[in-house]
Amino acid sequence: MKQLILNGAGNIAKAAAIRMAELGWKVSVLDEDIQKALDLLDALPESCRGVAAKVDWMDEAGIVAAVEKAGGGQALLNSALHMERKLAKHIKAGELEGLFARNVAPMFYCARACAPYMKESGGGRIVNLSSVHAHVADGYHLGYAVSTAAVNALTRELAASYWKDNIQVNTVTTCFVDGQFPDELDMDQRQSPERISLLGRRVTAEDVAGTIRFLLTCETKCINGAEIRADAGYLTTQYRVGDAPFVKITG
Amino acid sequence: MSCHKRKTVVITGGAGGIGLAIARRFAAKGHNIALVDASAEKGEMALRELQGEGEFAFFPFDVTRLSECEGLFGRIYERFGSVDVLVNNAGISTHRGTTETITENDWNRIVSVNLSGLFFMARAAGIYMAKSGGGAIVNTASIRAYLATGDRTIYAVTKKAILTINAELAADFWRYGIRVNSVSPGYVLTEMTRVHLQEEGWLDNQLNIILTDRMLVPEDIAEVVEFLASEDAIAINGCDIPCESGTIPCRGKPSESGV
Repeated sequence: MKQLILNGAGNIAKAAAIRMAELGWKVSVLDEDIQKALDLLDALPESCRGVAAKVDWMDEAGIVAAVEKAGGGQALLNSALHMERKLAKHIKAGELEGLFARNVAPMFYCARACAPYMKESGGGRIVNLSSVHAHVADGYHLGYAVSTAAVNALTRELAASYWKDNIQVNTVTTCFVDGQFPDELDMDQRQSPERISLLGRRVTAEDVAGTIRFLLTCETKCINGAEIRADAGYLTTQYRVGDAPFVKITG
Repeated sequence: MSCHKRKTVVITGGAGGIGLAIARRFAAKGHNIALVDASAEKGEMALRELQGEGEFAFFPFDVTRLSECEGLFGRIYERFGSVDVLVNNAGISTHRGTTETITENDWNRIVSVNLSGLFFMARAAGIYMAKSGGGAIVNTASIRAYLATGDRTIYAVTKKAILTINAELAADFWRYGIRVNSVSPGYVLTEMTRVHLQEEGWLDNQLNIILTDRMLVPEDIAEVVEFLASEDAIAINGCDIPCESGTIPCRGKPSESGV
């Protein structure tokens, strides 16, 4: 039975886990909040439940032990991103470095912990979650933007590092996914998510899960080191036919 | 096909190489295939290769007959009852040389097929997809949209323009439930390129710029096209997926295992 390791038990991870369980994959979850990890497993059929492990994101040895306890896997979804909404002037000394380390290092540690098991299985697939904040600014998410941009660089480097082991590493970039970050919902007063999404509604975790499932299970060798934008057109469109151009709301 | 809707998939440039691999993949999944190609002989041969539970038909058509694109889709809609997926794969690269060798004829010919033809096929498909309740358009761009070589300028310009067509059509067609994306293949081993395998050093050079130990084949690209046309890709719209095994983002690779 193939196994997916989840680094992070958020709602995108949960939706992806459900899709992978439908394909018969077992799922193990690492999170700093053990209850969240357990809740995620509860959403899966019993036969697809692996282990839930509490980890400290800065403790690589702990992450290695958790992956070992799970028995490794053939796929890894790195989705444990943390967002802070602050103006640049309010960011205190050390906070930027802290957020950067919190978002980027665990993805690296998890990838490095899982890679030997993937190699032993003949190969594997890693998906790192990133955000449209890596590409566009709003003045409120400096630390998140810097760290998600770094995730994209991490993906490229991991893809080049593990190509010989038949491990493909890609980024899935998301935007304003319903329920992912509650404080993000009012973040951009000019561009409501419903309005900019080419789905005609807010993007859901289930919408993004299809792309993650594809990248974690595809046979093709042609996608590696890439960033796939599952953002419902957010980054490539300014407004949609049928909408009036934006009116900037200030204050 | 038990739990999936049988779709009508229109594939231009479908008589060989990547186009035929795409046709085979969709056919094997039980979908109806409308093969479109300028070569009647190759198209008929390709049609005989398709296997699956759906219906297949070949439509000899030159995509540069811009005013006739709508009529073509009318015939396809009449034949199958819907138009659900367009794989806009027809393209040419008939000029190779430095800038001073490019003639007006070279420019117009390649732009006519790769850009005008692709756009008018998408425009016509949009009309019939809207009547069918939505759909997906997958254009074939190229690694040349990202990386220059200086000797295929016209081809590269047209392929880069496809990325803009994706976004513009996506921002318009969303109203009808139609998504518009593209794939950008790298160097793919086809019947046409296979002859280079005899050349000394050719394979090593190709393998040196990709993050895998074998050449990409048309089936690699076909899998991505099928994904983009599927409901799994619902969150992807107006985008391009590079299908080049890391050539664009990576400029080197270690020769040893990463583990």
